[in-house]
Amino acid sequence: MTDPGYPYADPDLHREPCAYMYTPYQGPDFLRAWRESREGLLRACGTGTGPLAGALEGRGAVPPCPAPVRTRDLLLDLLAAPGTPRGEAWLEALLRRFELTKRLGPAYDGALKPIQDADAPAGDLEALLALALMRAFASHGDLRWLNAALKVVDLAAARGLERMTPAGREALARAVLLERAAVQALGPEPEEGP
Amino acid sequence: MRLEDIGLLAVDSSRTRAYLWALGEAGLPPSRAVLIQGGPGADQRHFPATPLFDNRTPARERCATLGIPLVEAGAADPNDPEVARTVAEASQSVWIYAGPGGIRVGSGLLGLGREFLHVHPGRLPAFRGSTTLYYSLLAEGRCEATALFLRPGLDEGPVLAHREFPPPADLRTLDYEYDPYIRSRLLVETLERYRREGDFRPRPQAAVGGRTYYIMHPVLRHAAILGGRLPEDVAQVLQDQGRHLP
Repeated sequence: MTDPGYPYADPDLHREPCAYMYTPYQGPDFLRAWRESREGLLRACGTGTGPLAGALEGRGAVPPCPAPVRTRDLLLDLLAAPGTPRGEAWLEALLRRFELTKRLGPAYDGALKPIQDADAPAGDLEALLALALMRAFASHGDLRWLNAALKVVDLAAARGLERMTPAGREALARAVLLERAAVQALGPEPEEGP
Repeated sequence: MRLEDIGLLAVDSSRTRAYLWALGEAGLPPSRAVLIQGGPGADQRHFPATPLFDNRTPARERCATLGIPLVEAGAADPNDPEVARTVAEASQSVWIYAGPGGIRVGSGLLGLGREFLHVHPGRLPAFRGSTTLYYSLLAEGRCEATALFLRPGLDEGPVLAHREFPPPADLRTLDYEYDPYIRSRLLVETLERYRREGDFRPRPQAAVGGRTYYIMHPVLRHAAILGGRLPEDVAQVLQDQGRHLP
């Protein structure tokens, strides 16, 4: 089978996110193409460690859900204090928002409607959410988190890393490493090519 | 013998073809069918031949063979008012529903005072939502189907029947062959019991344990088709991985 490539991280997709409807089956080569695409993303993220820990310092006061929030602040709080009932309620809410729209707003009002907030930084949102989702999957083994993380990482890759802070790049790299380990744990090792 | 109080509201798809084939074979054809348009790209949709049912004969032709009076709605959306009008004008009180994927039945139809019988490819309430046959396979290695009446909440309606099926030998056949097939088998069982007992005996779903899934990412779909399975100790595996992160 010819290499199908990995089309779901194409730069055009951040303008018109993929709905993933009726995706074709392309055999084991597709998983190989996905892994190669993610390897490229990891290389682009670099190997910087430490910025994320700095960004999480002093965070962790997760607000009740729902409430008006700046998404980046919320995600940092979720990453700093994982596994709390409030945090899980927020992840469920963000999962639903993301799956229905395939987008993340920089801020949400008290009814979880996205609002424009010029002061809310948007560059790291996908990276931080991807890591929060992968950590939730690592805790519970709930495939909904892994499924959403795969889509969020696609979107981050499509958007590119230019607007991402070093902490965002580190979060994305950690999410991709966990994502890769999760898919490997599922066990469908692609057969070796000729 | 036709089921006089049962109608079929459907788009021409593998699922509808499996339903019509199975209902015809079981001597349970509905007494009316309303076909909605397939939407953009429907004409190019691939309907592979399968030994499980006749996947090649269009629904229109199958209805004619079975003597089912057919109305072809011009609308592509089951929530189009024309579809609701057509159903409202018919006498059937229960409609087998096999509409297009990705579109939820709205209040226009659900408010007509008719029941809409849907067969969902998963156990409820544990596997609500989209592509649940794949999720169930990955998480538990199981293929299941549940017959239910539709309600406004997604896959939250009362359950009529549930059954587990063995996974197919070739998991590539899930979408257009095995999924429609197992749904058609459970539909036939549900209607045979209804004909025998005169009652669907709906029962509410468990109030806890509900989980809604969204359309599966192609990486997970490939993993499922290639025989992947979520290990029971996945949390441990990934926590170990997390400890090794730089």
